[in-house]
Amino acid sequence: MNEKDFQKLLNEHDELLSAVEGRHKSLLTEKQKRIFQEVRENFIGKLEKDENGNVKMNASNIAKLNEIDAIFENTSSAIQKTLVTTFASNLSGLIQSNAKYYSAIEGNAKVLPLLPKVNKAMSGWLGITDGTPQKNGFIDQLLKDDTAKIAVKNMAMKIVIGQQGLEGAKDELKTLIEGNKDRLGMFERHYKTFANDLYSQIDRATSNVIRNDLKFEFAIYVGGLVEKSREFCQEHNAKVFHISEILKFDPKVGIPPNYDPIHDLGGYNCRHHLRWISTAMAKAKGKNVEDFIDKKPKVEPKPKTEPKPKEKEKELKKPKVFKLNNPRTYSQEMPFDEIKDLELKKFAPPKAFKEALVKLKEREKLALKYNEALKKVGEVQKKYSEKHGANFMDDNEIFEKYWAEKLKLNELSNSAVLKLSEFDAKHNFSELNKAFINETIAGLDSANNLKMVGTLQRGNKAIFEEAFGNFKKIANGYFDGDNVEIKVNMKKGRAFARLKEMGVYLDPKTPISTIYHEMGHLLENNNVVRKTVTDFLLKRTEGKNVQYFYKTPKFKGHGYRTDEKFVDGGFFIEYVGKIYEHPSYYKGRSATEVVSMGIERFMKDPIEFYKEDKEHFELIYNLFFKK
Amino acid sequence: MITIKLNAITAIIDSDLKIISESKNLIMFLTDIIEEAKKRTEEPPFLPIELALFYLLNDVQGMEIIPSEELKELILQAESTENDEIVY
Repeated sequence: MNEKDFQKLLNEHDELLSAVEGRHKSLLTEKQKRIFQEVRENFIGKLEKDENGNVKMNASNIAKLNEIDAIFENTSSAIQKTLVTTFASNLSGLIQSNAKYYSAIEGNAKVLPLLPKVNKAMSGWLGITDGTPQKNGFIDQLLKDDTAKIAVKNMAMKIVIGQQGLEGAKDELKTLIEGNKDRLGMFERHYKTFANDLYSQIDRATSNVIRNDLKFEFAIYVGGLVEKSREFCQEHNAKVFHISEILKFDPKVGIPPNYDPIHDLGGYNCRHHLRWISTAMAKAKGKNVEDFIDKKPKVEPKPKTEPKPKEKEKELKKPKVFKLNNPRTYSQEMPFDEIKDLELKKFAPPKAFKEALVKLKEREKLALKYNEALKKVGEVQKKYSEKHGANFMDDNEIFEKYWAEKLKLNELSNSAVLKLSEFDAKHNFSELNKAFINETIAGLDSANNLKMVGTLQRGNKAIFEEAFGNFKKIANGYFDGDNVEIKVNMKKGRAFARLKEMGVYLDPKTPISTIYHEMGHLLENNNVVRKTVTDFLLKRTEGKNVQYFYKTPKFKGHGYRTDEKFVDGGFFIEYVGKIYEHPSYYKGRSATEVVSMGIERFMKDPIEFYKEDKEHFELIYNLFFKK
Repeated sequence: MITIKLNAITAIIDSDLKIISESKNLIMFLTDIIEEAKKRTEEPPFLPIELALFYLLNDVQGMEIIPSEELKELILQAESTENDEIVY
């Protein structure tokens, strides 16, 4: 092959690389446009607005947030299929182009038998079987990530809660989804973060599999130069290098984590690649090959059989990586003495949440007045009978005084209760709670391998599905087994959980809050959760006496068993301090109510929970509800 | 002494029937007790409404409740202290 033909082959390959990247990006742009079109028609277009054109914050508009899920599900799945097909076709094109190049310099007889191996290695790396992405494989993770959906949902939530102007809201969503001249669209951004240089890396990896079998030791650094080519690429472009030199490449800037010179070459966004050539060709191109003939590379690079994961993928695939601030990455069974104390971050309440806290203080004052008035009404009779004897009503004069005082107190009490109910009608705490919960849950990762099994023999199956859907997000990362199943058992009677079997036992009429509660218990199967909450419980209850529920007057008639006991830790309810003892468990506690009561309270009334016990709230928030 | 058939109350709850009685006091009493029982199903110790009602009437109101066979079984199960692997 002459130099002209050789250059032609190199150029063709460069053009192909640019074309496949371009095809992929134009699909992403199309996807963004279609999503925005749907959001405009089926969400923004249906929002109710006031006379000033501002979005109303009402139940109807909040309910419309669910449209976002439907839009992403319907629109994405159609485009996803095209993306996978395009991806498979691009991949096949690259492999063919590489085969053409190596066949041209080494002959078909040597190269063609290698192709099945190359295909297999690439499919394994990318997680594709028979053209279909495998669950949790690289491509599956790339395509199913719902960061974009969450971002749109969060913004939509802010638009509704913040009662923004409709036109401004539309523009903001358009910029978020489609991007503008200064900002990439949301799918382009995700692609850039998760799979930047994907095709270049595939190309280099494919090439490396072939060169390993052909025993090539020299390569040309190809790709040409553009205005923005970094210094390292400028220095290396079009030159021939021996493998021992390549393995010492150090671009200094733009280096990804775990930099691998064969696959990452000049670093992030590097458009160059290595074209492996025979020793004879290297010599013909002026390389002093004799200097390298006996120099074996110190570390022979292994053919790539797995993708070099980006940071995000590493977290998803290797939950055992220890990260102090992310308890979800701890191994489920990590030894207790290896688990460090978590650095809990302070919860920063959003604006509406803060305002609700102020209003709740006002409400407390009103409630106090009402209770005082009610107490006085109850005491007036006692006061008169103590002063005038038990038969004071027989004396008309005293009775009239008593009756006048009682009426006055009744009026005060009625007025207090009226103010309280007017206050509640004006400040809808339940809506605020709901909005905060929805926003928090929407911000959590949904990737999870939890399954729910069992027969749901109850009228409202939707309640289970809602609770389990949210629980999957709350629990994300805490169960690192492949097929973790929560076994739901319907059983008339008191609701309970069995940790070892990952089972919850629920009455057919169990309310949704109790479903969260019982599922919450199962999270203590993760050692980091168990350690953190047991330490929290013991610290809060240190030095306090053990009490039995059934002997405590306020719990009379609540149906506690005679062996159920607690220690008062100043929690929002005494049950949080309940004791489950067993000597073989961490610090002698086989379970706690810290997680289950905390999650249940968070999902029911987060504002009140924060007001009542900030420390407990922040623990639960850090463990399960923080992004 | 008042004896109330418990499943009559749970039937009222299940079907949202109105309580009709000439005794306003009885209506008020039943309405309040059902509301309280409903509230308790969402609080520890997470009893089903039948049991919550049973304990309210039996322990708090001091009424004599004659439990059905099914309710007896539920009470026995709720009061059993045999299994230490269970968390509530």
